[in-house]
Amino acid sequence: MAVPQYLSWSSTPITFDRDDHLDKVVAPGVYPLTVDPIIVNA
Amino acid sequence: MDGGSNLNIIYLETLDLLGINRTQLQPSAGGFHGVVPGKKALPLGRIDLPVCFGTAANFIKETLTIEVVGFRGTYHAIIGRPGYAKFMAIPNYTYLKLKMPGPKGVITVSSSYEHAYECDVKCVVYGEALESSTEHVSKLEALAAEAPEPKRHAGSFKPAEGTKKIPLDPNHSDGKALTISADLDPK
Repeated sequence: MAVPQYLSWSSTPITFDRDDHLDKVVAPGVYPLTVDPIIVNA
Repeated sequence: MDGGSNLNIIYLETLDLLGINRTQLQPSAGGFHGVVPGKKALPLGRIDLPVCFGTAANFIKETLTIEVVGFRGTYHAIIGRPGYAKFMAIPNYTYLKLKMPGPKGVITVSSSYEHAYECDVKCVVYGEALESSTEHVSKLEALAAEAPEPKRHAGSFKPAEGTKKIPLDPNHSDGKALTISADLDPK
């Protein structure tokens, strides 16, 4: 029987709950998910 | 972040910000197709770039292969499904948050509606500017000419054969009638 090769930290559960809820959800699904990058040329 | 894209994309402008020379690009496997069916975009090349999420206390760093495109965009880069998969990142489009497992627990990346709104507005303004450019309009017109003529069915509705008219109210002869199948009992 093959031994599963798990990815690093794949045992960490990821959940979303009310703690993630914003004060107000405006037009859900309309806006893109954006993140602010820090661009570094190391 | 775009889970609907099967490529990671970076714009040439961002590459210039990184101070990366175009000679460092590797050849791409081929073009890719965007929103308009049949239209192909050719990337300038691809590059492997280290991308990091998190803080100094808990972070995850992966090298992503990113396609470099020559046209302008309203974002710095778009991380698509390959990036999501590599980071095991889970997006939540309601809360505008991204979570992924890190060495010391879950890494959460948040956005705000204000920022998302600004990006969206920029995207629309840029899209409208592009639409008004003569070259782009001619391209769209050529595309519309290639599209097959849609078949119009308006006014062609006909009732099935074998129907009969029965009075709406048998006790009143006000002329109102229903059309039903000839096989049905009027009652």
